[in-house]
Amino acid sequence: MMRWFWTEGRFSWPLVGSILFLSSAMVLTDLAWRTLVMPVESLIASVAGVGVVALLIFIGVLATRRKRSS
Amino acid sequence: MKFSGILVVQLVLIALCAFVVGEWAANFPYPSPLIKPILSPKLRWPTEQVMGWIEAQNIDPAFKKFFYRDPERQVPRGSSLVAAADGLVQVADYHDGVTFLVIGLSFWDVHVVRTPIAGRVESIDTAGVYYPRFPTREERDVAFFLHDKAAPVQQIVTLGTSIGQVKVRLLTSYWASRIKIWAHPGQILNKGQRLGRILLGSTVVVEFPGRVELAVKKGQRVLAGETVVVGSATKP
Repeated sequence: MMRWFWTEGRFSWPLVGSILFLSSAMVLTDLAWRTLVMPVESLIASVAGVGVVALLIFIGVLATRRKRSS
Repeated sequence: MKFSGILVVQLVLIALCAFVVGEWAANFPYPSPLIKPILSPKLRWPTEQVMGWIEAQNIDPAFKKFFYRDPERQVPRGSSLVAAADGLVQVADYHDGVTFLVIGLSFWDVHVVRTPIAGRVESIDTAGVYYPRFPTREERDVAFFLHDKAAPVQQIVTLGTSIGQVKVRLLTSYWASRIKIWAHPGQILNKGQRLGRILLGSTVVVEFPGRVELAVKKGQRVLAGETVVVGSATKP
């Protein structure tokens, strides 16, 4: 479990990638909320959609890497 | 040791993310300074934030710089009359022998007021209650007592013009209560020339003598010194 966070004397890239994704998603959501004229429900749905797609890509990349390493 | 370089890169990236999130959290619900440059002025400095600055008498320097802008204007030639201020036309009506043109200025409009027509400054009068910049306790009590009550602060510039007396009233809120008039009695001003400046939320009322056919309607956006409000000025 630890290797999800720390591996070979550095942070794991999935962890760093997740932090980058979450912080940039937060800034972009904030920006969209301020600039786009759309109902909050639509904004939340769009953000959730992007989040789900990103999560699927993330899981896919992890699974591919695991296959290669095994 | 093999990955020390990667670790440094990772630490920099994480620190950058922490900074971005920190800036966002520290400024919420107002925009983070990181996204401010790409926002329009109205989104960059929301009304509630500006109101808070006014009440605290502590205005953000960046907003102050934006607020004090004074762009040049292309004043149309001829006998037309131009808008005295930037903003939205709130009232364009005729009452008791006077045609009123009321322009409401928002925080994001240029607050430099210009002459609607060439003329000579006949008088500059003051009306309303002034709120001192550094009030005593007693003055502050009075100020709180007057809060939310009608206490307009105005300067009335009367111009002697070719169509008669034209009055330009510069109104500001009780809390802002600062108007600067650059003209002085006896001075001859051209059409569209700078007359003064209202500081923060404000209204400009122009009173034309007699019934004047206004070329602007309620809700229309006008620019000081540029938007023609009366096609051709004639003496009533």
